[in-house]
Amino acid sequence: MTTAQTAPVTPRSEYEFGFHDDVEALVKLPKGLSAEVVNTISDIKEEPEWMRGLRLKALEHFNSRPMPEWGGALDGIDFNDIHYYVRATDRDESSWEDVPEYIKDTYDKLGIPEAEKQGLLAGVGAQYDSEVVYHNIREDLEEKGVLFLGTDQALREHPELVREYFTTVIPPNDNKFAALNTAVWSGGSFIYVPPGVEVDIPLQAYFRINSEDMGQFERTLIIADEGASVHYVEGCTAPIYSSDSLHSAVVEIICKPGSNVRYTTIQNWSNNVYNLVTKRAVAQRDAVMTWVDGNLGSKLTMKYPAVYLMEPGAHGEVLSIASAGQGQHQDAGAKIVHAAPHTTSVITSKSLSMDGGRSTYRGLLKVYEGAEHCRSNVRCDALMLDEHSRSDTYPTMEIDEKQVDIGHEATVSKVGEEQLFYLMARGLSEEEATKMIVNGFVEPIIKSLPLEYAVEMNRLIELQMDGAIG
Amino acid sequence: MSDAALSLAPTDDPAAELPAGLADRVDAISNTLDEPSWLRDWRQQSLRRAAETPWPSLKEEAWRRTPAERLPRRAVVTPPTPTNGAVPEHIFAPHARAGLLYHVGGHGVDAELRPDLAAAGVLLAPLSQAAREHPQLVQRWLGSTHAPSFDRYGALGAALWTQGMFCYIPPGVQVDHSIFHLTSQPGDGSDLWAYTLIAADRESAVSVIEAGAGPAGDLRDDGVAPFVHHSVELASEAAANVQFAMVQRWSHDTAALTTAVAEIGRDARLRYNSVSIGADLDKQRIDLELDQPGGHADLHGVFAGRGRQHIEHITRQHHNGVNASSELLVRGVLTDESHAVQYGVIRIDPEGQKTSAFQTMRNLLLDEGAGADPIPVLEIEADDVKCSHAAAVGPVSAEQLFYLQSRGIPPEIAERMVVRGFLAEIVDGIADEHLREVLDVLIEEQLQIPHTVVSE
Repeated sequence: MTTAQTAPVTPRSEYEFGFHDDVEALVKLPKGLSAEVVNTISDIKEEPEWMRGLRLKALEHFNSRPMPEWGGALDGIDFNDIHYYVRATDRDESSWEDVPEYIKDTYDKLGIPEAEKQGLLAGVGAQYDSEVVYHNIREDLEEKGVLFLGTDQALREHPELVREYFTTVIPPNDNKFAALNTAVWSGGSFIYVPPGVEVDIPLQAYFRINSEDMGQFERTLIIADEGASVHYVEGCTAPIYSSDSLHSAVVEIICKPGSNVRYTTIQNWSNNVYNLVTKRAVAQRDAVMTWVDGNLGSKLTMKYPAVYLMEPGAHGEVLSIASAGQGQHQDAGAKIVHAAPHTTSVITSKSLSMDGGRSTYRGLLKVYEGAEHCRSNVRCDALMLDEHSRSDTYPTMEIDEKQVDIGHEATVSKVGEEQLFYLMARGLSEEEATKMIVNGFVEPIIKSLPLEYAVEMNRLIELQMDGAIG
Repeated sequence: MSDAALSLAPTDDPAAELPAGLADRVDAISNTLDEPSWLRDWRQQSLRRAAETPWPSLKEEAWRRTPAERLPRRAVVTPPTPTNGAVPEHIFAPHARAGLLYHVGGHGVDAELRPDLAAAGVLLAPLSQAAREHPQLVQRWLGSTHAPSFDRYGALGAALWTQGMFCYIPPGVQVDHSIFHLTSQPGDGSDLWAYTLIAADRESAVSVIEAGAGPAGDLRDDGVAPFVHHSVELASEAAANVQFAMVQRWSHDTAALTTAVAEIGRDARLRYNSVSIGADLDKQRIDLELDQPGGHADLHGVFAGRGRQHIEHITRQHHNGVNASSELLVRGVLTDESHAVQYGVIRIDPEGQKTSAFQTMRNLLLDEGAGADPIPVLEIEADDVKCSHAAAVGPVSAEQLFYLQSRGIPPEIAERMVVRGFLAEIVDGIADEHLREVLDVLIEEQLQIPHTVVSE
């Protein structure tokens, strides 16, 4: 994109996924966005007409809608300087051995097949640029009727199921970037869990941007039927290029009565990615929806996972952790809407700012009139590691109902001198002591992650802190 | 004089300009108040600034929850007519006081100050009169905060005021009792533009209590909201101690807007109490500027809403001095279909190291139709700070009611006790005993407690 020359990308210290594969893509649409590009994507995918119509309508909406003026600085995005569709291989493999060697090599470097081999996962999906290149699910789950597919594949194999739910949670005109995604979406995961089926260990997807000046627009749709439960984990990485990339995903989740869905994101894009994502779930009667959202990478992230509590007994939870280093702005948060009585929610946010980075918590808690006896607690804490950084908290509450119990608290602080002194008096270096304090600060969120991700998250935070301290 | 064709509702139309006739109106006001030419020029300069400044956008966070349709579409800006008369009954002021200044019908008709304070150099006078008699002193302080350039309203407030007040406390003078300042809405239904300028020189101490009063009930019968704009400039020099309270009881159909800015000097202290009782729409914008080391400011807001009242506190605690502190505390009770908004920003610049800044917003909802949007915002660019905020919305706690009733207290009295206890943190913190008593009465009257019997 055009900012490349003026604003060189600052590599985060030791960003280890900054390599890229030097290969010619199989299909790479020319830069720029037009009805022609949208039609071509639809042609390539041999989609049903209704999807093509939806895409074109969304494109119109995208064109008519102004850029958001709040949040982070978006003026570096040039929509004409992006490849909207890049396809590396023509197949979505279900056997790891069949995945092209160079892509496999990429994922080997990311350590992904390892986890699957060790049986830590119920299923794995991998998206490389615009297309899903690999999907696999444990046989016993498949037999129970659990679907875990690329969204394109789901559209081919289960068109009615996709059509029933697609854009029902996030309509194409929800916001400018949701409209963009609806127009040019490609890839993403489709999950359907039948009534009563519990997927006991996580399903997992890895998103990788490889090409330069590329936009990744995956579309994920998760449906947990009555009493079902599932945990989905996604990780994201990209190479370091001198110009910027755009990642604009849409994730829709439907939690049917009594279901339990947990969606965990470890976002570790390189520092040249604009990460502008719309994530929203609806929770029906007695359903539980949890977003665990870790934002470590990207140049600018604007992402506010939402839960709409539509029926009594529904519970929504957002655990958010954001860490902003040099050249980064993490504008993350949560949105909870209490649209029914006897619903509950918890938002816990922990953010770190260091090395001139900026972390923003931005949240909305809305209680409609009639949503009696709902309870919500919002807690945001920010830790600043140096005097060049910035921390903001923008929590909005709109309460139109009397019989509620709503509380919000936030603190901003730096690493306490007393804490440091205590630890250093016991022989730790300042750096070790600081890391230990930061670990303690983020611990409430980390401990909600599966063990291997908790380890990974701690490691990523430590990597970011190297160079920021001392 | 007829109504000016000036819409006072903000609009997103960038072409919306101010009417040409306003400059003549400003001259007429200035002439009627017998002002020196420099003050008239200052008003005209403010009017030009207003013309150059667009209306605030309704998309801004500070405006997007405001029911702008309840702001009047036309202004009724009239020069004041001299009135004689005693202090009206609905205005209160105790006998034990250091001074009193009150306006009726837009004209400062009485100002009294205890002789020993006058001898010590304390000044209390209508702003126009002070500008005539003490031009250098007024020029030193008028516009010393950013209230006149706050936005278009702030600039209009500086151009159009008719009820002005100037209070100056010389270095080292400690005023032991409160000074009262009473403003009142013109009885003919025209708008009120008030301007308060208080300057506390170094190591001085003063308490000023303002009451803004309108008739109980509606002021106009044509459906146009009477408008009140109140500009407040509070300036404090090193180690000064200022207590300021504003109790507003505007008429029930009034749309009121406050533009207040307080500059807190080195090691100075400020306590700003804002009490909202009247008006249909009350939007208070209060900025605390802590750009000197060691300053401390408390901003305490208390409100009681009923009917369809809409009550907003738009506050900013701006720290760019070292080692200063500030605390915002807003507590309010809402009945019927009243609604409250608190949009409070703590802003700490990189220079504001060792700042402590806190915000608490608590809303007690007594009726099903009531609602509240508390929004405490932190923007922090210094790392060695202590900041936190808390916000809450909820009904009278059933447990508290049960506890009181189990001790034989009837439900309606129990509710009154809980509401009183809820507001105590602010009301009991008011130093002036007379004001505390008045507030208790005003709040109970306003909420008509016992209001409802809480059943759940």
